[in-house]
Amino acid sequence: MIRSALRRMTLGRWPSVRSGDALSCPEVGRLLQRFLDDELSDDAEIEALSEHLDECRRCGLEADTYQKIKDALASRREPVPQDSVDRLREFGQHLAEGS
Amino acid sequence: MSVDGDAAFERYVLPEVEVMLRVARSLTRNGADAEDLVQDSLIRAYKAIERFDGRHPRAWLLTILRNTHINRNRRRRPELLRDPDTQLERLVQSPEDDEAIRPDRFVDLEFDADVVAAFDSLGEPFRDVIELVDIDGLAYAEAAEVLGIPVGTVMSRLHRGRKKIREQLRRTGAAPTYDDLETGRQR
Repeated sequence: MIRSALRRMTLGRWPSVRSGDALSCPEVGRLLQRFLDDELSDDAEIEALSEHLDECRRCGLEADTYQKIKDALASRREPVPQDSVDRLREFGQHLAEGS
Repeated sequence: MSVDGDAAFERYVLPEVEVMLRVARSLTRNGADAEDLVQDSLIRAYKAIERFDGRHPRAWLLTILRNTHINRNRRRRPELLRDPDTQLERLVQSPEDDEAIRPDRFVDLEFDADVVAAFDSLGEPFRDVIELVDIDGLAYAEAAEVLGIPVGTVMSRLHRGRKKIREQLRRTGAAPTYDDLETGRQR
């Protein structure tokens, strides 16, 4: 209780999340982008955030929307032409072998 | 160049050529220029390899790529701005596979087109970060190296940029609002 009050006061920056902790919506908002980008490495944070997203419709909707935006942008990713990659690797290989 | 330097170049640099080319294509918006940029960056990396400590080769190479790009641009006229219409056209071009003619794919394509339109309307600082992370698939630290800005700035620009996209989608009805939660509407 005290820990979650402290985290609310510090906008989720302290103390760190422990296994079994519940997160508030603003804390989830702070972590969500890093979570979607696979930049969260703390297991307790990931667990607490996933639980919150399962239970809170508002945050779940937020996460779904951002994930769809990410997916739509990722679909613009064009394959890098393999012949360009091959040419550049060959060029690099020549640099390494030619000296 | 010493044998160690050549070996380090092969070990650390050559596996990253594809990522370098992907990022170079985002920076130059032109396939031929991107290839030239990577080639120049490889030469610089080769000259500097003996001073490289072997830690975070991708970040090191992306820094070289960025600096090479800046130097090349000093000598050239600015790139033409991207034409949003062309971007959209490319996205909604009729794909040829059967998968693409499923009705739910049309809904996806419509949503995707809305996202791209919102993305193209963003200011450059937001667009650059989103492009590197969401389209090119770089990690925050790698995008920070390419742009020469702190990781915290990458995170805040990403967050703000995506929020702007979401707000625009809500305005056009492409993304649900909190009111939709009350009525149970889902797109």
